[in-house]
Amino acid sequence: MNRTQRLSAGLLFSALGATAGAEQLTPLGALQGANNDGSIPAWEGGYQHQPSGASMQTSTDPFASDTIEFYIDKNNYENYRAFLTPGQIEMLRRNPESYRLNIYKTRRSAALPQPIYDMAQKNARSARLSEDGNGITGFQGYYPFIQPANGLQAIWNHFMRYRGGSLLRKQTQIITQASGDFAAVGIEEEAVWPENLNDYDPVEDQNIIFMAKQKVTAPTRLAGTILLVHDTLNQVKQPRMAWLYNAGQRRVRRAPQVAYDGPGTAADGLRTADNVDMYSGSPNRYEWKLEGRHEMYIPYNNFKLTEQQLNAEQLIQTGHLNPAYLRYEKHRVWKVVGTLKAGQRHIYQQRVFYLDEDTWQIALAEHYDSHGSLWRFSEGFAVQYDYADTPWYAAEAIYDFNSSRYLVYGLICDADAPIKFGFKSNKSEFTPAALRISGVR
Amino acid sequence: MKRFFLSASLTFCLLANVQASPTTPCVVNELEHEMINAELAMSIGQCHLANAQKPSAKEPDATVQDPLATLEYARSWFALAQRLGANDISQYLSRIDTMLSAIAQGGEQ
Repeated sequence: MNRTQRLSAGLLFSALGATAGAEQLTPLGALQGANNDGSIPAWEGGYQHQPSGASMQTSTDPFASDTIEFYIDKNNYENYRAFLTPGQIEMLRRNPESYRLNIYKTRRSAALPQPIYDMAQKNARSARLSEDGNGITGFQGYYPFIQPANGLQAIWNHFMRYRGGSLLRKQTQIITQASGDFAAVGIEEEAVWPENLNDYDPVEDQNIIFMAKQKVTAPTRLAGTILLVHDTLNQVKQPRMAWLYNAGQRRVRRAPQVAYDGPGTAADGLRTADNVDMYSGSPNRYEWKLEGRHEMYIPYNNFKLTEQQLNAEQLIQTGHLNPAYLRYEKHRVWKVVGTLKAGQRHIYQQRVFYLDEDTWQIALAEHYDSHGSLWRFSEGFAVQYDYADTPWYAAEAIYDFNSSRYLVYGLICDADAPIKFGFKSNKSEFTPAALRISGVR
Repeated sequence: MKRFFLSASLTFCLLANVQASPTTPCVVNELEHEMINAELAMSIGQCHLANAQKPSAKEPDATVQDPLATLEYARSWFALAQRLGANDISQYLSRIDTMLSAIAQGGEQ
């Protein structure tokens, strides 16, 4: 699909009347036009796959020749406060000598396959939240609410966004201590959405969003642990199903703790189960408020984090990732605030999410403790995987402001293969029995 | 009477599970919301509180050892117990709040 066709799809959507005022919208409901001062350009179809390109399985940085326009550090951040989140300001305050945001030209690179746009536009007319808000009806595929009426709908767009239909990656999770010492955990992950599950049953599996496996491959003392998850749409009606294969015991056990604030796998207590993918699982424990669209500096087009020659020693610094490898751009984001409901329980009392308007992907997140103090701050380093027309993360970081430790999740720079998207798989590969068979240490 | 025994044995099983999670010393999300009563929530809160007060036993693959996180788990369970009607929770909550304040002051840079 060429750029003109993609723009036409967006304009068609506007012509159907599902617009915000007089603004033209993209096929995913973002404002198509530039902002007032031109610092955010118009969306022109994104950085899409070129069929004649050399490789179908790797991304090259299309913006490698871009130079840093300016940087935000301890000396000037007050000038940019309106475009920074409290988490970013805290990072600058805590790391005055070493931390900065390198600001580059904004490139609205997000692009998706046309059928995904088509489904999103149909969903805009038919999708509804279930009565209790814990599920969705009348939708197909991805992006149920591209014109969100409330915060919950916006969060559902993040949960239900397109990630290639299936994905397989070898990634590294790094836990960094306050001293700067760090330890790496190798993880292999596979996730498959219904359209790529060969034996998917539309009746029996109608509440399944995706099936996923996560296998710890290193270090040796942790290797062999495998987590299997069937993520469900309505997790109140049918809770997420999770099983854990313990390599030491050679047993598969149900793992209901892998939800909400259950501790993340081999994460040293630095992330909760729902911190994965910036936020995942069920939104039912929070009241959600949509606080409008804002222009912010967010991580974007972080192609440097996908370079195979990059290694952890270069990237990990005391207190934060090495800013030299990070790229920030000004984009419009939806701000969504979640406050713990009365009668519900979670270690995060409040959470604030900033969702990129072009992808519905959470770019930044803040997690507050029971005293209302900012406890943890997350960044999702976005990349357009053009070979699969898929926007996703090149890594995520979660900074703990209490312990001064941080965790990086999903680093693929050290992996020996790029992320594979869009393959078919069988449901039988995602059963507890399959877990037991594959659990050979 | 039979109903009482059934109820008592169910509660016993659940309380036994309070310290039986495969990856953490205390229950986090293992129980369905409808099964949780004030006593159970309080027991789980006490388990997390005891865990927070242990000297830092660093198991290599322990998943909860951050003192703030452990206290927040305890606090969240005591707050739930209070909402479910448990008595004498305020002493636990104020004790945890004091500990959280101490951690917050220690963590200030």
